[in-house]
Amino acid sequence: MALFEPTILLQLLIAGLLTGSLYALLASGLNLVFGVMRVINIAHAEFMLLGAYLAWVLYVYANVHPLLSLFIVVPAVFGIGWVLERTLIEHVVGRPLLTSLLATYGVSIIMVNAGLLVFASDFKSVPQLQGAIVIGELAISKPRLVAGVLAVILTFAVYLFLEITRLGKAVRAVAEHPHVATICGIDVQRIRMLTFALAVAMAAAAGVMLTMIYSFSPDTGADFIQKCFAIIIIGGMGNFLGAFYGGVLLGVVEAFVGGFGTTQWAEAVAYLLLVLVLLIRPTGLKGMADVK
Amino acid sequence: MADHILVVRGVRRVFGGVEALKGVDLDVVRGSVTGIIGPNGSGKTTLFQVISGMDRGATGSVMLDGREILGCRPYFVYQCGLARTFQLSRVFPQLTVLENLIVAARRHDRGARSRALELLERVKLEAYNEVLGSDLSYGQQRLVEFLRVLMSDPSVILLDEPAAGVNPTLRATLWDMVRHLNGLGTTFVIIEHNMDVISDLCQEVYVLSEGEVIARGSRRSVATNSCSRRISGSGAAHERFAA
Amino acid sequence: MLSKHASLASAAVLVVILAVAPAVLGEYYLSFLTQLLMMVALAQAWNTISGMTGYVSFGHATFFGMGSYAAALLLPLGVPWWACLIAGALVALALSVPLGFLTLRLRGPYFAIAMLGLNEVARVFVTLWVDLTGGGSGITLSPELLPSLTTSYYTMFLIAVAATVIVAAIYHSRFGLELRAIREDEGAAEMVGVNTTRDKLAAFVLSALIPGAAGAVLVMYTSYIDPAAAFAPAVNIQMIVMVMFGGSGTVWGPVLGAGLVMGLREVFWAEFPAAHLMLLGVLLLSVVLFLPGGLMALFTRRKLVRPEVAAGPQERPDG
Repeated sequence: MALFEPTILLQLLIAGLLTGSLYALLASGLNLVFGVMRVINIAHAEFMLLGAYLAWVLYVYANVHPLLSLFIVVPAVFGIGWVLERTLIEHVVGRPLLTSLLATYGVSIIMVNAGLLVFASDFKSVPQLQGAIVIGELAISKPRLVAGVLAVILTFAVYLFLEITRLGKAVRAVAEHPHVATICGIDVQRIRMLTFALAVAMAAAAGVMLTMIYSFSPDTGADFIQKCFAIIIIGGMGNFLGAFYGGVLLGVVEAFVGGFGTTQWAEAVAYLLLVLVLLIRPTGLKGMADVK
Repeated sequence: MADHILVVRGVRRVFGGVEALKGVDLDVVRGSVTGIIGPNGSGKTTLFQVISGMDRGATGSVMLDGREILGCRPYFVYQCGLARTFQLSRVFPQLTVLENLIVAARRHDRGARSRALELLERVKLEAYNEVLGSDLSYGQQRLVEFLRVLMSDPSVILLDEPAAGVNPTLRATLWDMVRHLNGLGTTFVIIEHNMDVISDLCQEVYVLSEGEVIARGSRRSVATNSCSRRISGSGAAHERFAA
Repeated sequence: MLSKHASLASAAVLVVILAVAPAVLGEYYLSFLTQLLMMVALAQAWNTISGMTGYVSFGHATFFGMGSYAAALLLPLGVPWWACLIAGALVALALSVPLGFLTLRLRGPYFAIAMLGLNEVARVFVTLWVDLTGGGSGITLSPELLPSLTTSYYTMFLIAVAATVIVAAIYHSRFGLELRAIREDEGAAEMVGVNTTRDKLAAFVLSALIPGAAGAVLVMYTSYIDPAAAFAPAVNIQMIVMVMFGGSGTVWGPVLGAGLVMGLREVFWAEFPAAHLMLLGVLLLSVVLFLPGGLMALFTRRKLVRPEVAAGPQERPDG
C-alpha cells in the first residue's frame, strides 16, 4: 500500500510533531496551573480562543500579521489572567477540586457564549503565511512549521524560566509546598496570580498561531480541552515537561490515525487514549496518587 | 498454645524503592490489648493501612480468625469484623453525629438507631445527635469516630493514636470504653506514644523501628529491652513502666 | 429542613396542579410545562449521582441523546411509543453499566474528566454511523407515529415524579446515607463497611435510566432528532446549573432550580440562547462561589446550636 512509503510516514510524523508542539504549549499551561494551584481549569481552551479572536480582530480591523499580534495579544491575555485569578480563581484555591471544576466550567460557559454573542457561530481564520515548503518529496505547511517551532521555543522558555530564575523557583516551591513557601517569605497569592496569568498567556499564544492553521468558532474549545486532559493525564498531572511529551505524543498519534483512517476518528483518538490510560493507571501514567 | 485472632506474617510494603515494612510478623491473642510503639516513620500506620485493606500494595499474609484478608477491600475487612480508626479524625463533616454512627452499622441492622443512641449516651454525647460532624470539637470528633467503629460490633479494633489531640476528660472516657469493651471480649491493637497508657492497658507490646519488629513481649520485658528504652525516650514514663 | 408535613403537602399541591394542567392550558404553555418537567427529571438524574456522591458528571447528556436515538429508530418500525420509552431507558442502562464500571474506579476529578468528553464522542459516533442514524442530517418522524402532546406531557410528568420519588427514597434510605458518606470521605466510608464501588455504580445506573427515558419522550414530542440536538452541551449545562442553583444533594433543590431557571428563560431569554447560556454560566459561578448549598441552604436552618450539657466536654484539642 502506498501509505506505508517512507516519505508518507515521514510526512505524517513531521505533521504530527508540529501539531503536537502546539498542543504541548497549550497543555503545559493547564498542567502548570494544576501543579501550583490544584485547580483544574476547564476554561483553559477558551483562553486559547480568546487569543485567537484577538488576533483575528487585529488582523481584520488593523491588518496586523498574527506573528506580530503575538506581542500584543499575549501580554493582554496575561493581564486578563492576572485580574481573573485575583478576583475569581483565588476563591476556589484550596477548596475541593470539584468546586474548582464547577467554577471554571462556569467561566467556560460564560466565555463560549460571550464569544457566540460577539462573533456568532461561523468559522473564522486568518489566511496568512499560507503554502508549503517543499523538500524533495516532503511538503511541510508553512504556518504549521512556524507555529510548531515557535510553540517549542515558547514552552522551553517557560520551562527555563521555572528552572533557572529566582521567581520560577518560587513558583515551583509553591507547587511543592505552599505552606512552607509562605514561611520562606514567598508571596503565595502573587505567585498564583503569576502562574495563572502565565498559563492563559501560553494558551493565548497557541490560539494566535492556531488562526493561521485551523478555522475556529467559539465552540472549538471543547475539542481542545479534551485533548489537553488526555495530554496531562498521559504526561502526569502537574508535571510541566510531562505535558510537553504527552502533547507531542498525541499530535503524532492523531496524525497517523488521520493518515490511515478518517480525520473524524482522529478527533476521537484523544478521548480513547485518555480512557485507555485511566483504565491502565487510574491515577494517570506518571500520576499523582494523592489527588482526591 | 494461645488462641490468635489476628496473625500477620512477613508483611512487606515498598514505596518506590523505600521499604516501609520489611517483613512484619504480629500475633494478636484473642481478647487481648496489644500495643504498638515506635518512632515516627517506623511503619506503624502503614501496617494498619495494610491490615485494614486501605493499602493493598503489600505482600505477605494477614489472617483474621483463620481467613486471609490481605488484598481484600476495606469494606470487606470491616464486614469480617476488623475495624480501625484513623490517625487524624475522619468523621463525615456534613452528616449528623447520629448519621455518622448509623452508616457504620451492618446493612440490615434494624437496631442501629437505638444502638447509636445508647453509645452516645454512654459517652454523654446524646445531646449532639443532630449536630453535624464538622461542628464538633476535635476531641468529640475522635470520640464519634471511635463510637462509629463500635456500631458493627467488631471482634478486632485497630486504634491509631486515639488519644492524640483529645482533652483529658474525653481521653479518660475513651480509655474507659476500651477497658469496658475489652472486658466484653473485644480485641484491641493500639498505636500509642504514651507509655502510661501502654503499661496500663496492654498485655503485649511490639516495638517497630524502620519497618521491622525489633522487640516484642509482655510490657515488662519490652520495657527492660534496650531498644525500646531508646525509642520510648521519656525517662520518667519509662521508670514507672518498668516498676 | 422544611418540615415533613409542609414538604409533603406542597408536593401534593404541585402534583394536583400539574395533573389538571392539560385541561386548562393551551398548547404553548403545555409544551413549556413538558420541557420544564423534562428538566426536572434530568436535574434529579444528575442529582442522583453528582449531588449525592459528589462525583460530578459532565457527560449525562449522553444518556439523554442515546434515549432519543433509541426511540427515533424504533418508532418507525411500528414499536409502540411506551415500548420506545422503555427501550430508551434500557439503552442508557446498557451504556451506563460498563461505563460506570470503568469510570467509577477513578476518583472524583478523573471521573469528571473522563465524563467530560463522553458526550462529544457519542456525537461523533452517531454522526459517523450514517447507515443507522442518518448521520448529521438526523431522523424525522412522521406525525402519525407520535403520541399526542397531552400524552407526552403526562409521560414526562410521570418521569419527573418518578425521578423525584427515587431521589427522595434514596435520600431517606440507608443507601442514600452511604452515598452521602462517600461524598464526604470515600476512604473513611469504605473503612466503615460501605461497598463504595457497588453503591456508586448503582447510583450511576439509576441516574442514567431517567435521561434515557426522558430523551425518548422528547423525540416523540419534537418529532425530529439530529446529533447536535441529541448531544447538545446545553443539556449538560442546564442539568448542572439547575441542581447547583437549587441545592445539590437535596430532594427539592433540583425541582426548585429547574422551575426557576426555566421560568427565567421563558420570561427573559427565550430569544437569545447564547445570552441565556451565558447567564447560566454566571449563575453557576456565583452559586459555586457564594452559595455552595444552593437555594435550599437558605431554607435549611443548620443545627449550629451547641447544646448545653452539664458533662458535655467543649474544649478544643489540647494536643
